[in-house]
This record gives sequence, structure tokens and C-alpha cells, in this order.
Amino acid sequence: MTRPSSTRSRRLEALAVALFLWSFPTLAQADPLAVIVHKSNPNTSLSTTAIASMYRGETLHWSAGDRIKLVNREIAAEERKTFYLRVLNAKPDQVFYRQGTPVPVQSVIERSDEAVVRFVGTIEGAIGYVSLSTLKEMNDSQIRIILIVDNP
Amino acid sequence: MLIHNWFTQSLTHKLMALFFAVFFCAVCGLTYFAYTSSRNAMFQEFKIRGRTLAKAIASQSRTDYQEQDVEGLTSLFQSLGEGEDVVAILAYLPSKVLWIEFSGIQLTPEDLTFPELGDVWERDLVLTEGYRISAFGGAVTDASIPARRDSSVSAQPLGWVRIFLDRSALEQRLNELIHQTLVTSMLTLLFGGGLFIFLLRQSLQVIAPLTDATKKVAEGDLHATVPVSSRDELGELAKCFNSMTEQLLHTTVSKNYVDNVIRSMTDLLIVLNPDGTIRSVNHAALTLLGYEEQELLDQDATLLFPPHDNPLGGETYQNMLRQGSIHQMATTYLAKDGRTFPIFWSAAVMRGEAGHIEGIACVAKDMTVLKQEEEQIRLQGTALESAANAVMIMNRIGRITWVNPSFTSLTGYASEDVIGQNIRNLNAEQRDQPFYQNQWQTIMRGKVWHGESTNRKKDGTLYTEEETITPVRDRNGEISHFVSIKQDVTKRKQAVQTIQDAHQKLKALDQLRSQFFADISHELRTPLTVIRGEAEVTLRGKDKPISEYRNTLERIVQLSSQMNKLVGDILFLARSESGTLQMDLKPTPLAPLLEDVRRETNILAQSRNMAVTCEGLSHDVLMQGDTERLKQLFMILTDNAVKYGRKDGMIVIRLETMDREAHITVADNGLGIPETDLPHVVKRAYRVWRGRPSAVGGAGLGLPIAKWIAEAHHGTISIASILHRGTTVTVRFPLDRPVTSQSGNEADWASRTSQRT
Repeated sequence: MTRPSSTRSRRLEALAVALFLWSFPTLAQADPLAVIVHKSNPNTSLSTTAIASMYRGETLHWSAGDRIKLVNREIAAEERKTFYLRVLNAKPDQVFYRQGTPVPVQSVIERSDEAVVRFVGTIEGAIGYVSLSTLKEMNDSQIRIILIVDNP
Repeated sequence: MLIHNWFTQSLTHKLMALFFAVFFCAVCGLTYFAYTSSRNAMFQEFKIRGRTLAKAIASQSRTDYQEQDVEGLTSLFQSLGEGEDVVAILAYLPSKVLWIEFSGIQLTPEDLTFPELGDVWERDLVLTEGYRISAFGGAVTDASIPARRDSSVSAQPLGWVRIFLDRSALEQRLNELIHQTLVTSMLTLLFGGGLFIFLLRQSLQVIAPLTDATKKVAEGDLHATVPVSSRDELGELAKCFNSMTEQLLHTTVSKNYVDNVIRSMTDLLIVLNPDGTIRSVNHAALTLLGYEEQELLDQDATLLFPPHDNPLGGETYQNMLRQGSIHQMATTYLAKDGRTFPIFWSAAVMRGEAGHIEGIACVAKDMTVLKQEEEQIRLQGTALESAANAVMIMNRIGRITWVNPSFTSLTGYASEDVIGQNIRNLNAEQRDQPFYQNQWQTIMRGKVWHGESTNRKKDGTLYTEEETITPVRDRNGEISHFVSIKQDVTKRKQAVQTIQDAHQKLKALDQLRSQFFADISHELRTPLTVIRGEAEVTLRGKDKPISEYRNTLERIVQLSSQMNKLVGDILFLARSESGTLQMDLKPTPLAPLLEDVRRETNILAQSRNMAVTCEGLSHDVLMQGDTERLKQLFMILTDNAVKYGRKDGMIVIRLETMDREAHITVADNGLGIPETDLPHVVKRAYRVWRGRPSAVGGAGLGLPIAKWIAEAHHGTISIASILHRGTTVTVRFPLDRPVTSQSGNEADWASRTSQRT
């Protein structure tokens, strides 16, 4: 009777595969994104939908009436990929048009998380997204995080 | 080839093609012009807007540059970049490093590199990602620093701005413009073309009938008309065409018409050039002469005439040229095969308006048939002239218009005597009215009358003519003349009459002969029957007394002698007819002969107790004759007298001479002969008293024999008789004529017999 021995070895194999599968996403998980605004911004928290509507050109103004100044990363940036995928549910090179017009939704393009943080920290009506870890490293007091986007 | 035909064969097609070419070019040109001007305007506007925008941004952003106000600059970009074709606005620091990138599309670092094109620039670009844009750029200068004239040292700008305008929208608008323009052009072409074709057809619909009608007119049909359907110039043209053809039809003769007239001429028409060559020939001439038209055209006309008879040579021709025409001369045409045709030829010189000779028209009439007819008529006339029968032609009312020489010889009237005379006047006396009416009615009904009539000649002698009158009809079928053909039949009539008479006599003679033979047969058989009967009766039974045999034998002898006599008579007659009877003529004294006759008669007469006496025997008469025959003649007469005389009567024989004639009469006072039988008694075998007992005997041959003998002596016998009173037979002999041997034949005998009867 060789059955008990073979059963045992199979269980071991399955366990090993499960461990592998569990450990991979854990390893692959990137930094979460932080959506940031100027610290003077009255909003303390915004939903994903509200942020998406801003980047899609559907919402142009803050509730106080100021124009929303969008800050984007260049298309190749990981943050932009994550942001577009998670928040806008779109590809990073997607061009949005202001609702009902052929006017493309324009944004200020910054080439680094630091630049984004600096820009948002400088401009009151600005909104941007940066890697949470970078943000923590910078520890800039001029900005406020209004949403954390998990990057699974 | 097809397209070539389509173009060349219809004016409408040509006009349509022309219209479409022009219209298409115009529309295309206009479209192109509109398109290019619109495009240029759009480009112009586009560039102006780009430049203005760049300049506006540059001037507006000056303060922001000076203050390094990113927010203000971003707001400015945001507000100015809301144009629909603004895809990106870039701000550069004085160090030409990108300061702010405000963009809706992805830009690569190459796209963001500062272009180094001076203070202000514009250019078209295709970005790395494929966007077609126009880039406008400008330096942001500090207005507070006054501009220096010195170009070598320029003020350092505060920075630069670049604006990217999307050209695809512009090009899209241009494409739309092209589409719209093209669609508009196509619609214009279609609508305009359709309208044009409609109007063209409306306008030109008179052209096709006009063309057809013109063709017909060209072919000579002047009855062609065109429907007038509009009141424009073409309608006017159709109207004018109709009136023109009408005018032509009424006032002028078309060439075709003239050609037709010439073609259907039966006379020969040849038109010559002034130099004598042939210009044209009509169909009749070609047919008669046997040439093809090409063989004659431009040939010298002398080839149409025989060499010796050419009216175009010499004086005749010159005369014609002087006078202008030749009227009807008889000449001949020479055909291709060498035959010649007699013709009546006339020619006329055709002169132009200036008086110069244009040509000579020669008209000829073929006289061959006419000549033949003439010859025929001449022959027929000659035949009539020389005919043996008399020919007379009279017109419808009976007036004589022509007679031939035979008429003159028949009637004795010369032609000048009778021509112009009415036939009724000529021989009215000879014709009874019904005859004449019948003749006239027959011929007036158009029938041929044939008959005989007796007319009187000019000299008064009568003649019988046989006449045939034939009516002659003219072309309308009406009787115009009568032709009478006469023949003198007088001699023929006489001959016919003679033959008819002879025929009658022969018929009578034949009848006589038949009767004679019938009678003679009877006469011969009767005694034979009696002889046989007597003998048979006597021989039958027992022996009879000898006297009975004797009686019978005597009877038989008597009958035999009767028969002998009868046969002798027949032989005599036969001989007399065949001319074999010989007469022994010599001078014979009549008195002793008559005395012998009396003596012998007396023997016969005793049985009947008759007395025979002679008178006038005192003077002797001598005549030439055969004694035996003469005795036979008188014995016949006296025998008859005994037979037919009365019992106890008397017979007188008398001899007389009177006027050189001897008259011998034998008279009895017996039965006599009925008056109706008297002419027949001299016929052979004619017996008056046929009902009498056979004892009288006789076969009716006596008197014919007597008659023959008398006539053989040139004498005659005549019989006078009164019934129941007696008969007297008189024989007359000429005394001075020599008696010749009679050699009579049947015809002679018959003719003399008929003369007696």
C-alpha cells in the first residue's frame, strides 16, 4: 500500500503553490497613491468619484468657486498609470474632453513627485497625486492628503 | 468610334457635350476657387489666432514671469487655453528650461525642447505621438525696459511661451468644406444639366423633323412639312421652311421634277455642248441607241449619225446656230451596234442670260414603227387598188369615199363619178325597200352583210353582184366607214342555172327510165307467165283431144310472137339510143309505101271490121329515107289506130305536101286520148288505157319508136285527139333536107325529148 505516502507528498506541493501565490502579490504591491491638495483647500476628504469627475473634465471648479488646476504626471510615470487605472478607470494616454465640447481637458504636467508636491503646495486650487512614500519622505506641510488610493 | 458617332450625328448631343464641358469646367473652377479661398482664409484666420494667442499669452504672462507666479500663469493658461484647438501651452524660463507644461495630450521630451527660433515664431509640426499641430511661440519681454535701437545687444527676455494649436480640427473642417463644396457642385451639375437637357430638347425638338423634311426636299419631295411647335427662332425657321417648300412647290419646278420629266420622255433627248460634244442623254436615247451613259458623255456627237447623213456638219449646223433651232428634219441615228433608225430630229440652241450659247438640245422621235406602218399602209393600199374584186368605201351616211379600179370595170362608173355620191342614189331603182332596209340595218348594227343583188351598169346592162359589206370602227368603237367588196356573178349565175336545169332534166329522165324498166319487165313477164300457164294446164291430167293441144300451141306461138315483137322493139330502142342503129337512106317514094301499109293494116283491121282508106296518094312524094323504118313508123301508127279504134270504125291515111314538107296523117274515130295524157303518149312504155283488157296488147313502145324514126328523118310527130271521138297523128318530113344517119346519144336524145315535152 503506497497510497498514504503519495497523498502526503501532494499536500505538500499544494501548500507550496499556495504560499507562492500568496507571496507574489505581496511582493508586487506598489506604493499607495496620495491625492493631495493645497493645505488651504477647505475640503478634507474627497471621494474617488469626485476626483475622477475633475480629471474627466466634468467638474471644473471647487465648491468655493476657484478653478480646479489639475496636475498630472507624464504618461510613462507609474503613478499616472496607477491613478488612471484606479481612479479614472482608463489608460494613461487617454485624452478626456470637457463635457459637450471638443476642448481637451488640460493639466499641468510635472515630471516628478517632488515637483507635483511643490506645485500643489504652491498653487491653491491645484490637485495632484503622488506616491505616498515619497510624500512621507518629503513631509511637506503645504499640502493635505484628501484621499489615499491603495495600490494592491 | 461610338462616342465619335454620338458626337457627330446629333446636334443635341454636340450641344449637350459642349454644355457639360463648359458647365463642368465652370463648376470645377468655382469649386476650386471657393475651396482654396476658404482654405486660405481659414489658414489665415488660424494663424492669426495662433499668433494673437501667443502674443496675448506672452504679454499677459509678463507679470507672472516677473513675479514667478506659477498659479497666476496656470490660471492664465487655463483661461486662454480653453479654445477648442489649443492642445498645449508651454512656459519656458529664461534659461530655456521648461517651466510649466499645461497640456491635454501627451508630449515627449523632444516635443518640449525649446526650438531656438528667435523671439516670435510659428511653424507646423507633427508631434511624436502623431498629432498634427501648429506651434506658435513668443518671447515674454519686460515692457519696462525700453527697446534699444541697437540690435547687437537685445534685452534678455523674461521667458518664452509656446502654444500648440491642433490642426486636425482645421483639416477636418477643410475636409468638410471640400465635401460640402463637392456635393453642392454635383447637385448643381445634375440640376443644371437636367434643366439644360430639358430646355435643349424643348428648343431643338424641331430640328429632327426639320432635318428629315430638308432631306425629303433634297430628294425632290416638295410636300414635306415641319410641325411648328414653338415661337422662338427655331419655330420661326420651321415656319419659314414650310412656306419655302410651299413656294417652291407652287412657283418653281424642282430639278427632280425636270429630271423625272426627261427620264419619262419617250422621245430621245440629247443635249450637246457648244463644241459639239454630248453633255447629257436621256434614258430613251440610251435604250434605243444601245449605249451606256458613260460611253456617250463628252464624246463628239457625230458618232450618233451615219457619216453621210450628219446634220451637225456643215451648213445645216451653221443655219441652226444662226436661227436658233431646226424644226423637224428627217434623218437617221446610228446605234452602237451599227443599226440605223429613221428619226424626226429637231434641235434648239439654249442661250444663257448673256446671250452666249450654253448648249444645243436635240429632240428626236424614232420613226421606225411609223415608217413600217406607212409601208404597210402603202402595201395594203396597193393590194386594194389591184384587187380583182371591186372595193368601195363609204362613210357612215353611205357617201362613197373611195373605189378601186375594179369597181370601175365592174360597174362602168369611174371613181370621179361615184366619189361623193350617196350609195342610195347609185342603185336605188334596183332595190326594193325591204331589201335595202335589211342591208342597212345589218351593217349599222355592226354586223357583216353578205348578199346578192342585181344592179345596172352605167351603160344600162344588168349584172348580178355578190356583195360583202363590213363596218369599220374607229378608236372609240363607233362605226365610221363601211367597206363593200363586190364581185360580178352574172356568168356564174347563168352557169348555175344551166346546171340546175340539166339536173332537173336528168332527174326526170332517170324517173322515166325507172318507170320504163318496171313496165317492160311487167310486159315481158306477163306473156311468159301465160305461156307457162297454158302449157302446164294442157300437160296436166289425162290426154286431151288434139284440138286442145293445137289451140294451146297456137296461143303459145301467138304469145311468143308478141314477145318477139316486144323484144324487137326494145332492141330497136336500145340501138337507137346507143347509136348503133343503121339507117339505109335512099330516095323513097311515099305513096307505094303507104299503100303497102294500108294493105297490111287492112288485114289487121278485118278482125275488128274496120275500114282502112288512103287519100292523096295520087301524086307521089319522094323523100330520102330508110324504107323499112318508114314502113315501121307508119305501121306503128296504123296498128295503134286499129287497137284503139272503134269497132266498125274507119282509119284514114292521108298524104299531103305543104311548104316543102310532107304531111302524113293517120286518123281514126276511136277512143281518143284524154287531154291530160296527150303530152305523155310518146314516152316509152306509157299507156293511156292501162285498165283495158290485155287483148289490146302493146307495151307502150310504139309511139316512142315512131317518134325516134320520124326525128331520124328530121321529121316531127304531133298528136291531136278528142276523147271518144278519135285521134289524128300527123307526121311531117322536110323534103329538101338530106337524111343523115342518126347517131344520137343519151344526152342528145334526152335533150330533144325534153324539148318536145
